[in-house]
Amino acid sequence: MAKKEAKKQPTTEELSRELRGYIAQIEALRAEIAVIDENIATYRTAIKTINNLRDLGKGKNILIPIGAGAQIEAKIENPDRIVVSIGSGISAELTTEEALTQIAKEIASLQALRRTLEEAIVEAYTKTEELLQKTREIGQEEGKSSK
Amino acid sequence: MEKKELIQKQIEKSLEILKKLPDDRKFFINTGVLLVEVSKKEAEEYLKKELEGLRGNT
Repeated sequence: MAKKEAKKQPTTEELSRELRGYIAQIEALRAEIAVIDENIATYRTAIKTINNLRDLGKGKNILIPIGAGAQIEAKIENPDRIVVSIGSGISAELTTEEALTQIAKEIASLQALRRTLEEAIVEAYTKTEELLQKTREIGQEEGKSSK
Repeated sequence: MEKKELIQKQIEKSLEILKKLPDDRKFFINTGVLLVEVSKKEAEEYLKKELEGLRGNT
C-alpha cells in the first residue's frame, strides 16, 4: 500500500523568505511602472510640441537646448515634417499626422504594458496577504503549543 | 522572451515601418550623439545587417 505522506507545513522562516520575494517583486514592478509613466509623459510633451510648432508655422525662431542650460537659436524650416525614431537606431522623417499617429501608438502600447504590470502587482499583493495570513496562523499555533 | 529575441523583434518592427514609408523621405542612423542622414535603402541595409548579426550569433 502506498504511503500517504503528510504535507509538510512551511516554517515561518520559509514563509517570510517567500514574502520578501513578493515584496521585492512588487517594488521592481512599481519602479518599472514609474519608468513607463515618465515615458508616457515625454510622449505627451512631444505631441504638445508638435501641435504647437504646427500652429506657429514656418519661419518662427526657436531655442534648442544643447545641454548645461545653454540654448541655440534656430528657425523652423518645415513644421509639417517631424523626424521620429522608429526604433533600432533609425529615425525617419514623417508628416505631422504620421508622427502623431506613431506617438499615439507608442503611448497605447506603453499603457497596455502598464496594465499588465498593474495586474502582476495585484497578484503579488494577493500572494503577500495569503502568506501573511499563513504566517499569523502558524505563529498562533506555535504560541499555543509552546504553552 | 530573451533579450536577443526582443531586439530581433524590434528590428523587424522598425523594418516594417521603414518599408511602408515613401522613398523621398529623410532617414537617419543614430551613431550615438549624432544622427547621420542616409537613404531609405541604406537604412534598410543597416537594419538587415543588424538582424543578420543577431541571427548569426545563435
